[in-house]
Amino acid sequence: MSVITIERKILAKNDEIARQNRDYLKSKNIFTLNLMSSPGAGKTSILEKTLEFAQDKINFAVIEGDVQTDNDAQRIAKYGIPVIQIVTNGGCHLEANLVKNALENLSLEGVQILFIENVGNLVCPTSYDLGEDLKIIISSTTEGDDKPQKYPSAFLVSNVCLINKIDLNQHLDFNLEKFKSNAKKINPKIIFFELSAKTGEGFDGWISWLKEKISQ
Amino acid sequence: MHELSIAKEIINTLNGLKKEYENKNIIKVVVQIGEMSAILPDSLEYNFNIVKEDTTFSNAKLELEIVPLKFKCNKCNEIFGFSENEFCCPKCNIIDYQITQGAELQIKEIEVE
Repeated sequence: MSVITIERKILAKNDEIARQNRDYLKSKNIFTLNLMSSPGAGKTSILEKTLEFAQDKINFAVIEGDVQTDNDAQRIAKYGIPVIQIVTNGGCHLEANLVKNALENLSLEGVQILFIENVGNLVCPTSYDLGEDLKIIISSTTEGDDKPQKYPSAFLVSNVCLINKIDLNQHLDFNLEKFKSNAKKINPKIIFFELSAKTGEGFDGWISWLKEKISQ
Repeated sequence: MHELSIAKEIINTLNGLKKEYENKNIIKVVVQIGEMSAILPDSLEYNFNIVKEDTTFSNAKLELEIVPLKFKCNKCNEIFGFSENEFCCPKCNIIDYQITQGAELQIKEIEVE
C-alpha cells in the first residue's frame, strides 16, 4: 500500500477548455462577459435594454444558458444579432465545453462583445471558468441588501455588479448604500452600475463602460 | 448543487490516474475543498458514493480535507481568517488582500495497493 501525492485540480479539464475558449475569443478580438445572478434578477431584460440602446454602436453576440426552454434566446433573436441557446437539462451552471460547442455554432464575424448569460444561480457558476474576460454579477433591489453576505463567492469572483430594478427602490426596504458597502467588504475592487431594465434608467454609465472596454 | 458534476469529475480523474500508475488499485482518494469552493462536503461524499458504483473504484474511500479561507493583507502582510463575511485586516483595518488559501478543489493524494 502506498500514498501518492497528486495535487491536481478537479476542474483541470474545464479550466483547459476555458483557456482554449479564451484564446479563441482573444484571437477574434472579442470582449467576453459571463453574467451571473439568481433567477429573476433580470439578466435577459438587461441584455434586451443594452441591445436596444447600443446595438447601433457595438456589435454584440449572446450565448444563453438555461435549465430548460429557449425562451431567452427567442427574446434576444428579435434584435437580429447572433444568439445561441444552451439547454443544460437540469444542470445548475454552464461549463467550458458547453460554451466551446456553442462557439462553434455561433457566427462571430465582426462581433465586439459576447455576453454569456449563465444559468440563474449564485453558487455553482462561480466555480466554472468559461473563458470570459470578466464576470458580472447582477443583483436586484427585490432580493435584499444582504445578498453579498449570503453569497460571498459570487461577489468575490465578480469584477462588476449591476444593481437592477432600481425603479422599485422607493417601494422596498432595500438600502442601496448598505448593499454596496456589504459588497465592498468582500471585494473592494468591485464596481457598480445602478440601473432599471424596465425604465432604462442608469444604462448610460453601463454602456459607456462597455464602449471603453472595447476601445482599450 | 454541482457536487454531482464534481463527483463525476473525480471519477474521470481517477480513471486517468489509474492508467498513469500501472493500473494499480486505488483504495482511497484525498480531496481538498477550500472554504470558498462552494462545495458541500456531505453532498460531495453522498454523490461520490453513488457515482463510484459500477466503476472500478467502487471500493475507493473518499476523504475530504477542508481548507480554511486565509487572506494576506497587501499593506501589512498580516495573515488573517474569515469572520462574519468581512474580509478586513484585523491589524490595519483595511480591505486590501490576496487570498492565500481556501479556493482549493483538488485531488491531494491517492492511496494505491
